[in-house]
Amino acid sequence: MSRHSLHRISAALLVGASLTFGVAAFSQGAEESGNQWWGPGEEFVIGETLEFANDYGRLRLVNTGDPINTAGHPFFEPLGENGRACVTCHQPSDAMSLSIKTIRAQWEATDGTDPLFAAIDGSNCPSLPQGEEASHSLLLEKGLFRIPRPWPPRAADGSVIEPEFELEVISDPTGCNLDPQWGMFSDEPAISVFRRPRPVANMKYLLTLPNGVTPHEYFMYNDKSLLPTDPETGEFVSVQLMSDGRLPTLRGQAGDASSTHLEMISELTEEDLRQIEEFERSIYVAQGFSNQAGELGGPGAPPGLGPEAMRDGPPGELGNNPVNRVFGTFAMWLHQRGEDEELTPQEEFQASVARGANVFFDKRFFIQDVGVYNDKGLGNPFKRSCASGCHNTVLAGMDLAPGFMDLGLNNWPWNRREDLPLFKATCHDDAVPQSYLGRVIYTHDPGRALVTGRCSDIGASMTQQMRGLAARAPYFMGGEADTLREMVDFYDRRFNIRYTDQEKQDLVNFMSVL
Amino acid sequence: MRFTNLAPVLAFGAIASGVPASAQEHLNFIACPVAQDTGEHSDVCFFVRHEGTRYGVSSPPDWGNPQLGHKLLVEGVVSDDEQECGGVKIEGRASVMPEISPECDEIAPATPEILALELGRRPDITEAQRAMILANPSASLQIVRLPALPVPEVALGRTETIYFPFERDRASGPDAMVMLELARLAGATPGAAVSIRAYRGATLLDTGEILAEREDMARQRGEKIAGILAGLGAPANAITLEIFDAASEPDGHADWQGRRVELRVSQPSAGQAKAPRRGGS
Repeated sequence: MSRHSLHRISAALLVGASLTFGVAAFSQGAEESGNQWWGPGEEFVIGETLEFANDYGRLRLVNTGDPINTAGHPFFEPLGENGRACVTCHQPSDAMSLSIKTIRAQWEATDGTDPLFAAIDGSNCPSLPQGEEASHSLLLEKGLFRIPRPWPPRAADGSVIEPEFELEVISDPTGCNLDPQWGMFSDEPAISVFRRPRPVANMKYLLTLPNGVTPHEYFMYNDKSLLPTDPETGEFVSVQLMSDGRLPTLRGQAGDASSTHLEMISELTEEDLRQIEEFERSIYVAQGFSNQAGELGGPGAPPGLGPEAMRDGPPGELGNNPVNRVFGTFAMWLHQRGEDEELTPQEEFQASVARGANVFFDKRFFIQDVGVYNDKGLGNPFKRSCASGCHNTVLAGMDLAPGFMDLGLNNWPWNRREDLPLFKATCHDDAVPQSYLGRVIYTHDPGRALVTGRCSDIGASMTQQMRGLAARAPYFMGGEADTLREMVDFYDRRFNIRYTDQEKQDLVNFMSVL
Repeated sequence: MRFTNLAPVLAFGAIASGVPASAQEHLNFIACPVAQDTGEHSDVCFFVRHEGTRYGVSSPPDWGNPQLGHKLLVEGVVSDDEQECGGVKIEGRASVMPEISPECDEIAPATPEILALELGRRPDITEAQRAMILANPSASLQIVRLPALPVPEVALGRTETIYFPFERDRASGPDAMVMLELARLAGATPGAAVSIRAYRGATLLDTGEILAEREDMARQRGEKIAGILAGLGAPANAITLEIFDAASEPDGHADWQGRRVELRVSQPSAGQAKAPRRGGS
């Protein structure tokens, strides 16, 4: 064991000890330690709780299982050919995702040699000269990894799915979609899209089927087809895990990631899969301390804040009624003093968070032209708030009903990116067209359609959980928003909500404590 | 014409400017839907304008609300019930046409007259609930579920019918619950036979035109439902699928009922064919 690793273990243990006596000691320790990177193969101990500093305060991770020594654990060991481990892209400090801040720091620290920047998907295309910043620009600037998807799409059993649309590369700034070895005309034709890694924590919320909203324990919301089943148990499973829903189980995702992202030649063993799944089901993350609002969780704080609320909360529940607000009540922070009394700066911030929560819960706006969503029963438009529309899962904040949607982030005209590939999808005459874009669609990422082959799915993806946002910028599947404010601005622009500046700031403050 | 129950509608001179069709009259037409804003705290409803009259559009739950960006096929009977979305109510079905129609893009603002109707308002938190949460904030995360939807009753030998929007194969939530129960019944009945009869529809419009569905709609609906029933546990080898490609002659009276799938679970009969069959009209 290296001296460095021993130091890390000491620091991790200190966290557990510090929590017994309050968090101030670790806060200082975290600032001193600076680098919070957990490298593959390094040894740490995950006890009951860990905290990690970020720009807004501290993220807290809660482990509901036995203490975990990362040495030898398959989530943390470099199992593949490129030196990566699962932890490379799912860092505890970054809410089990990966922030742009961490990516840049790791580039600087290693001069671009860290396995994080592996050619296979940590660069814009494996054929580019590695080690040059320009070859890794999408990862360095937007936190995006290359996701090659077979073209035409393939079903889980490997059979070819005949797509309902033709795909043409209009713009290929990474060069990978027209690359003779890696592109759509190569021996193994593939479409390269670029996506952010999703947080691997709070899993019970993503894996539990909706409760009390029959028939959505069995059916996809969108088209009332059946949900997929777990190939091992035969039970219906949710499709919340991945942005395109292509792998619905933790074991399936781990197996796929080991061969793609880790470039593992052999398969994960049964014991590897068991340990990875057990770990992923054991950990909960959320912002635990706000620099401006103070401790998040515990007496006096809104009951939905902190990872302990995630640990103890009910999964699979709908939070769009007047009693069950998605993240619980924030009323105790709204009016803490009489009208004539001056608020402390902390109380002012808390009041802003509470106002932001109310905007999120209650301010209705027209939700219009969202493909695969407005067109499935709801009507176009319908008028809901953020929480009563697409972000209604109690404590987690993604859409409870299993279904996908094209918010506009992947397709023109709502989002145009110069840095991403642009495809022209032309749907066949006998296909059901994409509901609001028709049969000719310009897309940066066909999303779900790369799994189903359906024209109507072009650009659609799955909503994400909203916890630990402060630790894992940039946001959205394609990293469109560098900051929480940019995320709010996107929605404001997309749906013509006309938030006031105060409402925008309140929403940012609200999301910073989740 | 019975005006009694149309009084709320006729109060809006600008809204119901034309002469509505007579009660019980059949209407079959295509028009752009208009989304009616109903206020800051409520959702929208939809209406269409047809020959100078405003008709409110309603369909069964989860059938599929109208969509801006698409025309709407309205098939129904003029109702003498209360108004719908500030217009004359039509009992029947409204189908979103699949192809996009950018010209259908109107959202009508909530006028005082519309606000007065208090359309689409969901219950707000009660004072008692508010006090409870203030006293015990964690109560806001103690789940209060809406009452579960009633489980539909199905029976051996009884035919259940699922109706579909024009050129769609998506069943509604309540229809999906019927399929759940049928699959359970089939799974629990040794040797049960599951019959699926899938149809394609056509509609006679008021203009005299006939609007027929795509030729493969019957197959598409039948195969989707057969797959669903098998996936829900109905024995796959017990399922018989009959496909009726030829649409019935439409007459302008409830033509929407031609777009359907009939489902029946029954006791086994000897020698029943298992392979998909093509039916006649």
